[in-house]
Amino acid sequence: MRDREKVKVITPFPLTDEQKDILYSKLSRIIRGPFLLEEEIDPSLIGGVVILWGEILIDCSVKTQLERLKERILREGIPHVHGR
Amino acid sequence: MSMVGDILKKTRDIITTYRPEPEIEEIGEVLEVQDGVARVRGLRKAMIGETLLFGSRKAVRGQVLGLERESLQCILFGDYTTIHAGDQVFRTRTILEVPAGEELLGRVVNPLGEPLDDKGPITCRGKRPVFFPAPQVIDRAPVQRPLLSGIKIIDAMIPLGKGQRELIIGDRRTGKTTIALDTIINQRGKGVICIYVAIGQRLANITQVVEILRKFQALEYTTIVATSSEDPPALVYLAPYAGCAMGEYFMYQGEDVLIVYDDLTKHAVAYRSLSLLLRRPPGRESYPGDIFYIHSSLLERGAQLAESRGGGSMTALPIVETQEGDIASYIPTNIISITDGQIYLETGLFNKGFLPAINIGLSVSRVGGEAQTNIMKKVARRLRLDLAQYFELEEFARFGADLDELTRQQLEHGKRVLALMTQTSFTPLPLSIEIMEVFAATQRFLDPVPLDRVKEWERAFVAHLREEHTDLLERLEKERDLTHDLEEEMRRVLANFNERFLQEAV
Repeated sequence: MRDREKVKVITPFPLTDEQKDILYSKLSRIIRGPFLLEEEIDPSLIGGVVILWGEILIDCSVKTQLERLKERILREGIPHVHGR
Repeated sequence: MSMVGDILKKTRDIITTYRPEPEIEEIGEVLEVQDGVARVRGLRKAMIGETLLFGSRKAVRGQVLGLERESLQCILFGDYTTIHAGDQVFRTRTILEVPAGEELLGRVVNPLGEPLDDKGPITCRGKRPVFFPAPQVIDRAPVQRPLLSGIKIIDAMIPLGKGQRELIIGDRRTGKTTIALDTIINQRGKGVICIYVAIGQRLANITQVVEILRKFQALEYTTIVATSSEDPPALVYLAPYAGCAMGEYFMYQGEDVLIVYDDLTKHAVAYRSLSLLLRRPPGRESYPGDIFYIHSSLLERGAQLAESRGGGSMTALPIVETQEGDIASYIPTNIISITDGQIYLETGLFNKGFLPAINIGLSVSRVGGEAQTNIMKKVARRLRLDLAQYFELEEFARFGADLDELTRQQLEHGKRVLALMTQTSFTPLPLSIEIMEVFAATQRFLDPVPLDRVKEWERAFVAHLREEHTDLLERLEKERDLTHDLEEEMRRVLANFNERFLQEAV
């Protein structure tokens, strides 16, 4: 399907060729057929990568993990929190 | 100091044991947004009724209402002007839920549970699905416990019971909201939790309602779910269901709840707008085909639960506004057929100063006597008859015919009964006083009082009862039946009071 031919890859800093190759080979395990990596830079991610493949979003960014950590701390760490 | 130490330790523990994991989500894309309705591409697995989050910040919530071949139809709650074509859409895999719990009492919120007053954020421990099936037959018990409105006419002749749905219907500005508010105010100290849902009302009206409830100290046990005419139709549509869900939280815990839907006419209009935007085929008066179901599914959720389910209840007072007194039009007839009776307010009565402007002939409570205490039932029996006779004679007397003494007396009696049945707004009366007044009226204790002094008589009598006969009032509230002895005491008190009152006139 048309969606799958372009896969957007968002990283906090530009990828080296080697990193791009590794990413491509890992992704080929799930994505059948040829596809193109479209790169985008978003420094707010801090580290990691966000992959947008058609309708699926794979978020491996440090930013999101920090947010999840924050949520957990607020939820479990503090005895009585007033609503956000 | 140790609390800070605890927090630091807990935080450290969470951080050191945290395992990062990639997140995999389905993403959809907004194709178009129009007046609070969005079409979304993707999210093939999304289901009807599922909550979706819009925008990269996931700030706006919406609900899937339609599945098309290549897209989803969603209604947006919240500020949809921030959502544009191309924006991302996320699944939540849950149905719409609202926060619910004691924390909502005394607050004014929108249908999503977000505070609209300035008393700070709300964190509710509980939550409930906005749309939920009504209790099954087996989970219900008959409506047998009275819900007192504090309004004489209603408690005597159109009595309400816990778990009943009673419609308040009439033209604009006939006192519909006032009756609902009076009932809410009368629940003070009775352990009934109240919810007032403002559906597409003018902001000024909503503010007034809040003020009235605050003034009569009813706010503490009431939650106000407010949508104004400025809110998107999706939010207006959601309002009654959200309020109902908040009520169900208490009902399923064995509590008694009173919920007011003000008003369902505006609700129908909002749903019509939404349906037309969703391109559903318009039916009669351009309303969608499920306009009946929209209201029946809401009102059926109000009930008296069986002991096995906790014995709680939710009494519903839906309000419908008619045009030119036409109760035979589409939406009114729909709701009349769903509810367990109606309180019909007439402009004519209102203008004549007969307040509350209830047309007793066209009003009915299909639960009736089951929801009245035995004493009130006995005492009120004559009332309906007396008033019916009076209205008949009134027609007749209007033609200026010469009347015989008996007829004239009947008329004068009827006028006094009617006069005593009027009541000013926001002065709900306790059951014992209502019983005494109805008794006084039907047993002709008012006949010797000049018509223009009836209201004065009432004021004096109520004060007298409160000062000197608290024991009798207590008996009336507590006793199971109108014994001969109790009735005698009532007559004695009335006779004595009348003697004094009439003497003072002279």
